[in-house]
Amino acid sequence: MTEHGTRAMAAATNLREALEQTAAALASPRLETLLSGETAIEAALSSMPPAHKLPASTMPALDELPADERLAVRRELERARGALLRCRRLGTSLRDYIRLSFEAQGRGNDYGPRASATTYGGQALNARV
Amino acid sequence: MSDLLSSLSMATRALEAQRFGLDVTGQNIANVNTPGYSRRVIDFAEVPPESNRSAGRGVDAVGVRAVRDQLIERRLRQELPAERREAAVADALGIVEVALGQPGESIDAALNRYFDAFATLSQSPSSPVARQEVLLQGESVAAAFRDMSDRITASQRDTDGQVQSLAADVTDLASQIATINDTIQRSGDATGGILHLQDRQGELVRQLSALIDVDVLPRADGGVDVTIGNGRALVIGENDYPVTSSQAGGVNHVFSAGVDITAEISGGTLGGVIFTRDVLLPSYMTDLDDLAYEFATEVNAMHAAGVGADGGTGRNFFAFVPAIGGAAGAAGAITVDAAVAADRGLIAAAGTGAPVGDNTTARAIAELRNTRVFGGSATLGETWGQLVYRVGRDAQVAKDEQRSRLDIVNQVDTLRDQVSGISLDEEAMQLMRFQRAYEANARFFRAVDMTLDTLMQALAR
Repeated sequence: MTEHGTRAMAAATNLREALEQTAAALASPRLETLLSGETAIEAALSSMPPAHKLPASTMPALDELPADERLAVRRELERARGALLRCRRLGTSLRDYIRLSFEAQGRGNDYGPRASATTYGGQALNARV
Repeated sequence: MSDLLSSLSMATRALEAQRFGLDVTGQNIANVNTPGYSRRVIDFAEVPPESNRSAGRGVDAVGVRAVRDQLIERRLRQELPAERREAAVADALGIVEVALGQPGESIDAALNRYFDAFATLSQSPSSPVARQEVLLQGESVAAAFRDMSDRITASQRDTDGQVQSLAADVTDLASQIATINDTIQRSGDATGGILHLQDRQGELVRQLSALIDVDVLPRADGGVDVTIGNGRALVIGENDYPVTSSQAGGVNHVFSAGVDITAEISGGTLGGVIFTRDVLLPSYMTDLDDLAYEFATEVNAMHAAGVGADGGTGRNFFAFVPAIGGAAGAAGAITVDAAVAADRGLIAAAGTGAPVGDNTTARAIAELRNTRVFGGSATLGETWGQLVYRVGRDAQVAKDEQRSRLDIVNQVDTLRDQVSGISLDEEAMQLMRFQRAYEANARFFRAVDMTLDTLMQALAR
């Protein structure tokens, strides 16, 4: 792999790992890991090389990679997308749980003298990836 | 004096209430590893004052209730069948994946060796050794197709066998749930006294929903009614309605009260097994049949147009035994034509009207390896690769989906353990922490999504 390819691959791996870490923290769920996930995702995002060559930039772009390296990086990004999907799904489930709990305690956002209790659609728990 | 007695009575009641609370805590700790056990919490109630000159008579424990969030339990019961369904699909496809083999080690390798043999024959069209090799590789590729067809058929038989045993398991669990309903009904106690029965029942319902998607309706007496499919009764009160399986159209179908409900079952292990048997495996078999049929038809067309060593023409290289009407069944029936198998001299290497030693037909068949067939969409090797990829992708999707479902079940279970049983204020605070922590991450999700889109578009070129 070229040096440029290695760097791109490392950035893609960092992003995937940060997202997988967040997904694992949501699945467990572990509060401390979840709190540190924000920084990891931010750092991984900022290390991603640009898709196309930017004018007056010396930074190599992803579309300049050789075909086999492009394929390898793409596969890693597809895995990152899978992890993102897990994060979103688990996050929606977490939100549903929190909302249900608050409503059961009478602390829901819609709770009040003039508001009726909201119904739970259970979207997260019924969704299919 | 009465005030003193009243105060003593209040203190005694409070002490008893607290002791009861300790008992409940002990019960929770003792059952921490008991499957299906629901943590008990104690409900305290203020004892009202006897007169308007009294502040009240203290606190009393009015009962114990199981911590069951009905809504969450119901949603989890929907999640479990989906998770088990995907697990069943992934398991079955794992076996098919192994049967299909690695790229370059299966039918694709047999096809390549067959085309190689024709390429060798084209270099020495009259060589008996080269003709013998073509014959051997022709038999080998036909056997590879038949073997693969047999493996997929065997997978279908295996999944079919599971349908029968799973239906029996569903009936068994339904019977146990009905028995518990009966016991609960006879006890006439819809409060604390039946909690252990409800725990056991909850565990049985959980086991049942792992096998088949169920709808559970709580009864006023504390029991449950269970329906399956399109509202078919499985357990109503103390009565259970057995699910049976019997052969229809060569495979096991599932019946409830004499009605075929196979098509109504989509979740649980049973749903996954039925989906694999009736949808996935037949579609793989169709692809395999199409490939075998296209391969044989293309070779036969070229071979029939060529001339054998005896000067004869119009002969097919491959045949289908038993005879087939279209592509269906081609992979299981493909074989080398009996006449060609008996006399390698009948293999056509030359073109019509060509001089002795011509290799036009042998070259054309060897070139079929790189020819786009199926209406110009793909080569034979690529078509095989697509089938292998499809099975692998289906298995991976099932594994991912299973993991995702399991994640949610575990997440909700763990969350409940982490926050329930402490004070409502602490619970709310803990939940808020989780919410804030998730929101901090979620701020980046849209950015990540857009970045991935852009990068993958750039990499797709």
